[in-house]
Amino acid sequence: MTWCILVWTLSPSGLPAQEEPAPTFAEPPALENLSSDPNTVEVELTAAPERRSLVPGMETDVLAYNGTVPGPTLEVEEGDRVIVHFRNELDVPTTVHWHGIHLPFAADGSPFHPVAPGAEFVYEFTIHPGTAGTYWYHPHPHHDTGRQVAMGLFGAIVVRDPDDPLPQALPERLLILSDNRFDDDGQIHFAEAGSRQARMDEENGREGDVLFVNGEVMPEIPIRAGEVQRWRVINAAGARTYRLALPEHSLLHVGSDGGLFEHPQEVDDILLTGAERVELLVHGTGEPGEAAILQSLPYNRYLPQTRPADWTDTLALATVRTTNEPPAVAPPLPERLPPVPALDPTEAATERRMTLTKNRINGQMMEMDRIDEMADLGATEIWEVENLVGMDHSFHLHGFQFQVIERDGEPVSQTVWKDVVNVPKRSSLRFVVRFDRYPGKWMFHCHILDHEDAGMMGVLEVRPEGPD
Amino acid sequence: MLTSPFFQKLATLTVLAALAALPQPTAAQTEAVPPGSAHNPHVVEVEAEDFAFRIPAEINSGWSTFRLTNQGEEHHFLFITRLPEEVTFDAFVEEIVMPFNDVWYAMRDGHMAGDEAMPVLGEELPEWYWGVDFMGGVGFLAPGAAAEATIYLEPGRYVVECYMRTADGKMHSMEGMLDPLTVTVDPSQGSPPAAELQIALSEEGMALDGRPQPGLNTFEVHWADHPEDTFGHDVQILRVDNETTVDDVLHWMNFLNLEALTEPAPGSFVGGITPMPAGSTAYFTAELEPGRYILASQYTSHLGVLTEFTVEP
Repeated sequence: MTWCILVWTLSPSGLPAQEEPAPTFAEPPALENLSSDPNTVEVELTAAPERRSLVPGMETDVLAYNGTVPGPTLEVEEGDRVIVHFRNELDVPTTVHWHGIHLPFAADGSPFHPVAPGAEFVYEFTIHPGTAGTYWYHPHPHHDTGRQVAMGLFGAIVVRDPDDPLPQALPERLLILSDNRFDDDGQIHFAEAGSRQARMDEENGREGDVLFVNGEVMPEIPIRAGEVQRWRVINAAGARTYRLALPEHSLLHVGSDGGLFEHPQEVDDILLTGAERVELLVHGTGEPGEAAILQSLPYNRYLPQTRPADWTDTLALATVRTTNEPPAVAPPLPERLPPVPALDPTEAATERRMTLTKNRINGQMMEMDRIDEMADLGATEIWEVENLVGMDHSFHLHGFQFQVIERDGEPVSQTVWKDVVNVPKRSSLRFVVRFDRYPGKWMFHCHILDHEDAGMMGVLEVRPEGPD
Repeated sequence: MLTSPFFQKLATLTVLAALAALPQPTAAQTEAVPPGSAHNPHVVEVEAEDFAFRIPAEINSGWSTFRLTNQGEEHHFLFITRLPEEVTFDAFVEEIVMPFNDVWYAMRDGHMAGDEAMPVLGEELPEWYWGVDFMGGVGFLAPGAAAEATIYLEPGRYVVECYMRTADGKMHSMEGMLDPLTVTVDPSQGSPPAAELQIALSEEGMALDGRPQPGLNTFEVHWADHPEDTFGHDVQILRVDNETTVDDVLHWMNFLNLEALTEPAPGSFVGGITPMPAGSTAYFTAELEPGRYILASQYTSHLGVLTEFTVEP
């Protein structure tokens, strides 16, 4: 039994059928910087069991970073040295994976470096120039990532550029999207093994029927008439793909996983697969007091065998309410942003093919002691990712951002840094990547966490140049 | 053995309805190329992985040669079903595949006997199910093997699937080996191959005319009729050792047996052709090494429709 009453579908009027007052929009706290060095961010992070109210009137056993769900935000600038003193107070091994960040293998928080219960680990890495963007962190223990994320372990990383090309006057909003399921006692619900729900979760990934923004259900985001806000949106859900839309408002897509890109694009809606991030400029075009609903539109990523019956529902995520403050005048926005330095596909000496099928990549399931691919440090490569099956999969590469160059044989319109990409059903894409700076064993996997945990993951070893 | 009255009845209805509605190729269309003549194949390359097909979304109508390569670590096959005109792939999956799969899971998990499943499926399956046509495809194929089946397809909507089972009893179709296939009105310009060997399938049995040789063999298969209470004849070729009995093979192929259609197979399957309507003619090729072979029919061998042969070095 789940909390169906909290499924937020839109009424015919376009407004959610909820009558309780909307929670005020709030962002997670920032991790406190303990360093006095202006170029060092030193923080403490603890994963521990907690009891929190996630849904109104119910206390829920969760796992939390520093006691909050989502965890506190790691705020850094390009060039910063980051030191994270992590303590695992869970009763199982865990890791902290700094999703999308280019960092040393030992700091990646992959399944190769589990932190035992009661143990501590210091993650140290540098935020390189060109990294500015929105990232996130989450556990990555082998076979247990989905459960730990569902229990509440995830948080945002915001990397700032001291010379950010967007106006500093733009108010920023951080939106961490997640979902969950609860039983009648308010506890986080996982399907019983062998049940039909378990089979659906195995196929689709575990989707929740309660949708959160920054840990709140249907928060109200204030915006002034005429104002332009800069939204950083993270899909931290274990499996759900969001198709975001804000009716009657213009959305300008300015950034993706690895930061801003050259040609902003006005969009009516935008797809976010699991772990993906976008930066949007949202123009407040409503009249004072008016409300618009931030929605997730239907998107058919499913096999017909296990497609949820309610997949055609439009889901409400938050209310965007125009305040009664005097209208704001938005600062002028640049029509173009600095170009993303493009990797040169002609420098690729190696092309690899990744075939996605159920819980497998290239026909194999994850083995921790097997190296699936080997590359030289400094090499530029092209990877073709082909999804052979009738549902979408995503593809995430650890440690190195890449640039998609083709989808189904058609060139993409502009250069964008990515670390996770949706590969729609029965389609393919090609990306170019360069393995700079950091040798090591890097995971690549589907970011539907149930798939990852089931074995839809492989290992790329980047080897230092020189003789073996 | 097909002991379940439910499945026997269901199969009967399915086959009879399928056969009645089937458009048949004309005599000219089915005329085989004489041995030694140039064959004009319209080849549709299909790769089977664990667990997905790499197959075009659309092919031209007429004669097509499906060349199936098994790149997985489990047996696979390519079963082609033609849908009634108004039925979509999604409807087929939701209204046919899912109820069948639910019943299979119930049987697999010991919650339901075949007899108990009858009222459940009888209520759930839509009327249009009796209008689907089984249109052939490449038979069972061992890992690493390749084989061809040449069949005539009219324009329309089709489904391709493999319903072998994983070690934990999941049908490959549910794991991803289930895809739509559109056959367009554009003609394939293909023609059937010359065949050195003929197989006649009827209630009388499986008659093989000719002597298979080492190497590539092409078989012409003719379906004279289908026995009642079955899904119809098909042909599966497997090489077996001297200890393997026909019963071993039939037991493994009988989908009502819980351990059937799962690795390991009782021999090395090298292809064949899946059921087609009575009156049809189709072709398949198989690479044969010297050894003992059984030619079996998954759904009718229990009625005596099978034969054996030996390929001499």
